Amino acid sequence: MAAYNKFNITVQDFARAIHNLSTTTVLKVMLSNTLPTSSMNTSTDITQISSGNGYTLGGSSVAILSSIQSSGTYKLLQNAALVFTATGAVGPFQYAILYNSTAITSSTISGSTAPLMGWYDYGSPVTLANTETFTLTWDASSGILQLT
Amino acid sequence: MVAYNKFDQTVADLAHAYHDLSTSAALKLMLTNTAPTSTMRTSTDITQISSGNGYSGGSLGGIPLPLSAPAIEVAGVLIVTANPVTLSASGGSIGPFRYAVMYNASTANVTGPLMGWFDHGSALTIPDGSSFVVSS
Repeated sequence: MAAYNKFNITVQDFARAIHNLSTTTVLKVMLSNTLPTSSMNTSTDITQISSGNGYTLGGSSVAILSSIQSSGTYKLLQNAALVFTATGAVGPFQYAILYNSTAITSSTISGSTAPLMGWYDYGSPVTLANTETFTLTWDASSGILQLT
Repeated sequence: MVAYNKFDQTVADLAHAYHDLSTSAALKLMLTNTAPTSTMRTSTDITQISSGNGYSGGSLGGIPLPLSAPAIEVAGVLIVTANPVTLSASGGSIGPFRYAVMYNASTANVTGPLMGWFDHGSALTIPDGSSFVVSS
């Protein structure tokens, strides 16, 4: 899995109870070919790839298995790999952006929903041909994200 | 202010929305002369000093710590600020105590989740008629 990059707003959202990373929270990953910036706040700040051929605007859900805290480090763990399957050309995209799609009342500066949580850079643009898949598998030990 | 020490559980409580550090957050400081440990979780784990002479202990006791502003991030670093609080001894001394333990006096998820503690470095007793000021 590519390295995690955080958005500045995420720590504030955690401190204001915007994120509840229980298993009922719906996290999603959207795809983009435009580099995110750390000052972005919500999913509407992201320029997604076009919808179609297996990609739906808003992205796909991440199955959360559980979370653990050990010696002051919190890890969010995934239940199963997230797979995008192309039914035609998809992309190009270089960035996978994690966000919280659960409808919540936000007290963030932006005051909107679907707050961003982090992004992953795959280093170069990826284009899927028909029937190809793009699989996001987070490291079983490191998890989706960590808080310390 | 002396250095902040975190409890291990606090990150998980933040991830599970136990703390809403808006101005409405009911944070408090408990005073104790027993060193907290990082594995402690709630206010009931803290051995407070005795109530009286200006200090109100007991369940969800301590000194109210009103936030001066909602928690805010600056370049990705979270900053939580509080108004100064003053504890005055009246009718006798308060203490001795060495540690001020910050917690959330909410009972919404668990009762009194701990957030961190501050070590004064040595035991302190507030004499009758004197005050102790905590400021961030």
